[in-house]
Amino acid sequence: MQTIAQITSTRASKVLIADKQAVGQNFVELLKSDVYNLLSSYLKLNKDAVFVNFNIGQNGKYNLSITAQANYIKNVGLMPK
Amino acid sequence: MARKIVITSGKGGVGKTTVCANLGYKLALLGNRVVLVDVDIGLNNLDVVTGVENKIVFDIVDVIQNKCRANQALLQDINQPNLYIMPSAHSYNKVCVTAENIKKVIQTLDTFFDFVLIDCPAGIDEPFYRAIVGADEALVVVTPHISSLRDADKVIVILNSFGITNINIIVNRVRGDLVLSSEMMDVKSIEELLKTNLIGVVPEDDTICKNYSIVGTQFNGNSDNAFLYLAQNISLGTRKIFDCTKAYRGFWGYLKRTIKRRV
Repeated sequence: MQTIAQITSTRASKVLIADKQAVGQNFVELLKSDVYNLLSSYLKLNKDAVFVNFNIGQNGKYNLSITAQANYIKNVGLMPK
Repeated sequence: MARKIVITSGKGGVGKTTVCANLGYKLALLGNRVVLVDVDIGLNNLDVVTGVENKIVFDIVDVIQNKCRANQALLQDINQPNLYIMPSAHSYNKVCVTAENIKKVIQTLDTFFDFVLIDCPAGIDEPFYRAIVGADEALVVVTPHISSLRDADKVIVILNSFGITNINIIVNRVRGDLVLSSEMMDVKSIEELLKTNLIGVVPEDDTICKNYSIVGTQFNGNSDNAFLYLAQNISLGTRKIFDCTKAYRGFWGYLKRTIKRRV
């Protein structure tokens, strides 16, 4: 049987996680856009093939997974002499 | 240059003002020059807690309105010469009190003190922003209750977004007897839930209810050592956390616990 302290702790954890889940759709779109812009400096990307998934684990930490498909790697790091 | 620390919580009634006053007193006791700034304009209570409510001539709003200089509004504590209080106005003048004005007042105090403790109002509205804008560090006061933890979690996110990254939590009003009987969350669980460094624990103290003006000689309750540890952790960088359950362990502790429950 769980003690009152354990029940309170579990409930508090659930409340905090539920609050963190209330992240606007705009945030994911913004993140996706920034990820695309950053990766585009290095790779030729298909914008529709950039996926950003965002969820919260049981420990209350955000789990973020980014998937992208690129056609080719750009020539980077070569400065003209 | 002073360390400017805002004492906040989000939720009201968790003991921000009490922590601010007692922490200030202990920091001053350790030889630091401390000023307590009450930014809770209109709902000021720091003057009452510190016992200077009858000595106020000028307040923070008068400083902002250039009716006096910052040092003219400061009140020296009766018991602790290193401790000063800048009281807040009891009437709310919305026009002149801006975040920028409050920041300027805090910057004025910067060179004269080692610690500037800012007593933040409850909530996350405009008065909250006014209080945090002048601070470099934050102490978030929480109690072992879900509502307090929820608000503190939100406040920590806001503080981070304002560039205040040095954030620590103080767990206030912990009842050691209830923690031992697993009826109250322990401080370790609270630290894990909020994912923020715990810097102090203060037990529930009946003497705070008896002597509302707790700062100074009248106060020698259970939380006295807890505030001393907290002040040492902040000023000296020690890692002493008050054990609220210690008094309730062993045979005598068990008796004390049983009697307390029956009373």
